[in-house]
Order: sequence, then C-alpha cells, then structure tokens
Amino acid sequence: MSNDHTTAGRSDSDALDPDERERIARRYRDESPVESTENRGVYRRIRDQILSDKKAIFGATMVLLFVFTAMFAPMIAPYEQDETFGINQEPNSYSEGDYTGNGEIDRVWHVLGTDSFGHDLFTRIVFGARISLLVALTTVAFAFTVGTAIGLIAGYYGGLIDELLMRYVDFQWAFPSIILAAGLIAFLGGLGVTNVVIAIGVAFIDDFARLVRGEVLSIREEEYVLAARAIGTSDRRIMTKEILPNAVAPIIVQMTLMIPLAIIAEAALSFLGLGVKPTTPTWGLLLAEGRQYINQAWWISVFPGLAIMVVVLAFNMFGDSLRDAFDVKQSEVSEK
Amino acid sequence: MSETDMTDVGVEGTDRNSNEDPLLQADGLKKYFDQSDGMLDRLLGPASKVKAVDGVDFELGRQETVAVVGESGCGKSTLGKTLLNLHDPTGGEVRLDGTEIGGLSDKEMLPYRKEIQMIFQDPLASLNPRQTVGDIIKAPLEVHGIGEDDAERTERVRSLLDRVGLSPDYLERYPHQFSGGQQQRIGIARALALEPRVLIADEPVSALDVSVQAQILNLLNTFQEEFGLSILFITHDLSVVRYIADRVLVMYLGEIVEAAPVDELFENPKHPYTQSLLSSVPRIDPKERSDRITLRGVVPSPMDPPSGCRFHTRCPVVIPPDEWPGTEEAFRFAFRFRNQLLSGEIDVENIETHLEATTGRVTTESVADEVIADAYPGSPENLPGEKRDAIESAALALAKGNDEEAASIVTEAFPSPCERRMPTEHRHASDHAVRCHRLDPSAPGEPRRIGADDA
Repeated sequence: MSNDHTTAGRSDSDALDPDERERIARRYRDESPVESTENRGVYRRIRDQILSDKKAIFGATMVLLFVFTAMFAPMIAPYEQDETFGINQEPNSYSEGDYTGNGEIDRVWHVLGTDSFGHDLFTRIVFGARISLLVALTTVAFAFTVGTAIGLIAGYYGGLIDELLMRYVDFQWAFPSIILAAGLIAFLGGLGVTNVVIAIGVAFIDDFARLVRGEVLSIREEEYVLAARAIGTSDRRIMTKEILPNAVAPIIVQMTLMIPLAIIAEAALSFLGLGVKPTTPTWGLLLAEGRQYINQAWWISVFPGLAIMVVVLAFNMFGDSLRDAFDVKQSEVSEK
Repeated sequence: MSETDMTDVGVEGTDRNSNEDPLLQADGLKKYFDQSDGMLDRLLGPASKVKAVDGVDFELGRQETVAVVGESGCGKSTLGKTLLNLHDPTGGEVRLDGTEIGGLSDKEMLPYRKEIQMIFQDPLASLNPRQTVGDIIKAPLEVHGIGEDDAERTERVRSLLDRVGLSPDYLERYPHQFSGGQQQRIGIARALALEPRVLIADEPVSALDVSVQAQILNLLNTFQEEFGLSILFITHDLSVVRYIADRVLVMYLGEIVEAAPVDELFENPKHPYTQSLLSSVPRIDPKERSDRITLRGVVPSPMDPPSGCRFHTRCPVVIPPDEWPGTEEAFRFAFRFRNQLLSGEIDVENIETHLEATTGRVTTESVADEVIADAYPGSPENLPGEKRDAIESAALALAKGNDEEAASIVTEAFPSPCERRMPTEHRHASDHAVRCHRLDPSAPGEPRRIGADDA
C-alpha cells in the first residue's frame, strides 16, 4: 500500500480501467512461483544425510541385510531348519553321519556349530531372523495404529477425553512393559506369534500415543487447521488430512526406534519361555537353550546374542540418523 | 432445528429476512477466554478471564466493506473468529441474513460456512505445507459436496486459480514454492471457492510487501464487485482502511469506541483514541501532517480492563472532576502520574540503583524526588497546593515501599469521571457513533466541553 493511495483515496481503484487491470493480472500470472526443488529435495536431503554419516550407512546396510536374510531365509540357510546333526558341535566343525538317508556317510560343515538338539546354529539364526522381523514389524504396526489413534483423539479434543486417555497411557507407561506383556500372554493363553505380537504391541501403545499427542497439540494451533475449520471440515478429516500428515516425520523416526525394542522384547519373552512355540527357531529361544550349556558350548548363546545386538544397533543408528535428517527439514520449512 | 425455525426464533417481531436487513449483524457479542489451566485452578477460586471481545455491536450491509481497526491485542482478530464460530461466543448474538448463527455447533454451522468465509493474516501459515495448492483449494468443494466428481472439482480449482491471477498449472505445487502475495491469492481462492456472501479478512495484507498489498486489495475490490461480496476487513493499518473500506469501526480493548463512514472518520475523528491513531498515519504532504498524538502508558491488560471508559488510563484529554481547582493540563499530568503509579510502571528499585550509582547516597526523600521527576511530566509546581502535597506524599510512600498507601493517595486525590462511568454511545451524526464522555451531553462534567478540545 503506497502513500498515493492514502491521499488519493478510493478513486484510485476506480480509475483502473479494465484493460489496465487485465494487464496487471497478466503480469502477475506470468510471474512464476519461486523456483524451488525443495519438495524433491526432502528425499534427497534425507538420502544425503544418511550417506554422509558412516554410522547411518552401517545401520542402513545391516538393516537391509537383515531384511534380505529374513525374506530369503530358505535360500540362505545351508540346511533345513529342523534337520539335526551331531549335538553341541563347535563352530567350524563337521558332523559325520547319514543325513540324506541314502546309505552313505555325509560330512556336514557347521560354520557356527550346532545346538543341544543338533540343529545347525547358522540355519537356526537365519530362520530366527524371519520371526524377529515378522514380530517386530507387526508389533510396531499394531502399536502405531492404536497409539496414533489415541494420541490424535486425545490431543485434538483435549479436555475430559484427553484426561481419560492420557491417564490410561500414564498407567501403562508406569508399568514395566515386559511384565505387562507377560501378563497379557498369560491372559490370552497359550504361546504363538499372534499372542506375542498383541502382548508387545499393547505394551508399546503408550510411546506412540504420547508422541502423537505432543505433535497434535502443537499442530492443532496452526493457522491451516483453523482455516480448515473455517471451511467446515469435519473433525475426522482435519485429524487425518490436516494434522496427521504433518506429524509423519517424528512417527517414522519413532517406528525405526521401536523396531529394535520389539526385537528385544520378543527375544526376552522367548527367553522366559513366554514367546512362540519352543520348536520355532527364534533368537530368544536359542539364547535360553544355550544358557544351560554356557560352560560346555558357549557358541549356542553367544551367536544369537550377537545377532540381536547387531540388528538392534543397526536400527538405532539408522533411526538416529533419520531423525537428524527430518529435524533439518523441519527447521528449513519453518524459515520458509 | 431447521433453518426456517431458527429464522423465526431470531425475529423479535420484525421480519429480519427483508432486504433492508444487514447481511451480518452482531449484537452485544462477547468472547472471554478462560485463563485457568486445569481443574486445580478452577477449584482455587474464580477463573481470571481475558475479555477479548466485550459487547460489540455492528452491522455489515450487502456489498459493504467495513474495516475494524485497533492496536494489537484489542480483540479485532478474536471478533472475526467469533463471528465465524471458530470461537464459541461467550454472549451476544450473531445474525447472518437474519438467522442466528452464534454458538452453533460445527455440524449446525456447516451450511452457513458456504455463506461466510475467511482469509488469514499469515498466508503461508494458513496453508497446509503437506498439501498441494490443488488439494487446498479443492478441500472446501469436497467438504460441501460441490461438483459431481473429482475431475469437475479440479476444473473449478483451475478456473479459481485463474481468477485470482495464478496459472492453473500451479495445481501440483506446494505452498512454500510461492511468494507471499501468491500465497495470499491461494488463500483468497480457497475462501471464494464456496462463493460466499461475506468475507472476513483478518489482516490479509499485513504480512505482505507494500507493493504486493495494493495488488491483493485490488483483487478483493474486483471480487467484491463481481460476487457482491460483503467484506469485514480487520487491520491495524489505517492507510489500507482508507483505500478499501466504506465504514470503519475503531476497537479498543474489546469495545468499539467509534464507528463512522471512512471519509467522515478520517476528516472528523471524534474519539481521542481515533484521533491519536489517525495522527500516526504517515503522510506525504507536509500540509496534511498534524501533530502526532503519542499515547503514553502501557496497554492495560484485557484480563482486568480499566473501569469506566477503558481508554482513561491513556487518554490525552481525560476529564477532570467538577471540583478540580487547577487547569485541565495540570490535571492530566497528575492523572498520568497516578496511572503510572497504579499500573506499577514506576520501578523504585531501579531508581534506587540509579541514585546509588550517580550520587552514591540514597535517602527516602531523594528517591521520592526522583520518582516525581521520573513519572510526572514537567514539574508539579503548577498544581494547587493540596494536590501537590498528594503527589509528594504518594511518592514518599512509594519510596518507603508502601505501594498500597501510595495507590490509595493518588486514587483519592485524582479521580476522573472517565473512570467512574461507562461512556454511552453518542451519535454524532446518523452514521457516526462515538463512546466518549467528552462527546456525550448527558455525561458528567459540563456538556460545553464537547468539541472544546477537539483537534
């Protein structure tokens, strides 16, 4: 608004004849938006961030390796998961016997040795990756769905609904999750992957609920949410279309950080004998079995333990780096 | 309750649906914000309330542009949002074309949202960063089920973009890829997608470059003519008001203090607050420049607004009581001292530190002298003796740390009718209303004061 408008008053706008207006309009139409590749840049920046961070590269590589191993377990494992050979064989040793049933003596190499049942340890660990990944992903997906819903509703509506939901979350938060999971398994009755997923998933709900609620509390005050209300947008649409997409970055980070916790929880439950069926190859069960033979056959518990450690560490490194990458992005957006 | 029922309820004996009715009307509209944080606060006594909008009446006619002006924090934005039911009104009525819409739930309000839309101050903040321009402008069409299918809605969005002066090819772009002016055009396109009759524009150009402001204002003017829009234009920028508005409402601390047609207000402002606002507008022509009226003192908190006329704590022409022995000017100086003392603006500790540093000696008397020198404009010499004593004893009490005693001394010695009584609305002309004791013949004090001090 320039000063000649002030002095000339409204007559100025009346003086604009239609041609003039059209000319002005055309000029501003031709003005192209600020050139920016920021949108594609988001993904590129995350990629750059990960590539510039050695720990993140290690993490991402190991995560990929883990996923790959789980997916192609039957092809990677040298033997069938239930095949038995000589018991408590050391790493890098050989079993001798007629394992193929053709009357000839076979010589079988065990890179990591065998366990107390005579299972090839490397084969068990490779198949164990499947259970770990399956349990981790479904658990986090379950906790994400329920936790996000609770956080969204609590944060958006506030008041009594918020109080009730968050008091429940507080209660759960104060309760040791492994004990909660053990209790749930006892309540659900019986062992099995589904029960493990539900038990750990429920125990993780609070983490997502808190995170999402915190995000919603700040996003709810944004002017675009007010603008959506002014249009007449329903609460549900505001929550799913306006608020949730803006909270995605921290949720993704949280998911990558919850996956290793789920793997550990699954191992812990199996270790306690509350997890999957005892014959299923999982890392936690292997650990538990090996415990009895730790003096005679250290490798039975050490190698599954190492597998858990490496995978958990990898996910954490990857998740940390992802969080840093998203943080940079958020500060840039707010500066416009 | 159906729409017709509600119309009937709101009638009060007259037919409000007739064309003479204002399109949008507020009647005693109030919006208080509860300051208490939780249950504990509520238990611990009455909640403090911010009276953001406190009894506002106005009318917005068809195709009319009414500007609401006032300082930051005077409640003008809250007024806009309350009219739209984005805040639940605490009291009063809002009527859209004769139908009461104040306090309707989101669901009940839905059909009226087509009629009344809003554009926001910060164009970027009002656009969701995760949605494309197409999604943003399409949202109102989807919510209200306008258009047969997605393709038709997209076509509408393209034509809307074209009308606000943006290329229809920008559909897939994100808000941050545009300049501020272009972002505001997107906001306008979204508001106009529903073809509303009322547009509430909350500081739509304040965040924009001066050169871009004019384009956006022209755009609004064009749409007003094309769609027959009524615009409620909320702003603090008086130069913009002159350009766009037909009528102006001046707001101070949640109340409307003056309402007049734009030319009348600019040429003949009556309320001292309006006068000081207008004197702050920059002018190119030196002949048009008037002496600036600088408002002193802090803006009082809307949580505890001043009694009587809310402007009395900062008013440059506050009225002395009938029994005042001295000149009006002397009273205003004393009154200013009183208000500074009451609002806690006088920092005794600071004065002590300052004295300590400069003279090395701090006595109650020297502090009291310094308090007067600091807070009293000029010297209290020209005050009548008894009143001078009051100033001095108040300063002394303050220096001793007896804040309450000091406060009661000044409150007693320097009362004003302005703090005692709420000014009633006085119609200067049929379309020019002012709330100020100076202009109200029925107010306390002598009616002959009317106009005596007017600039």
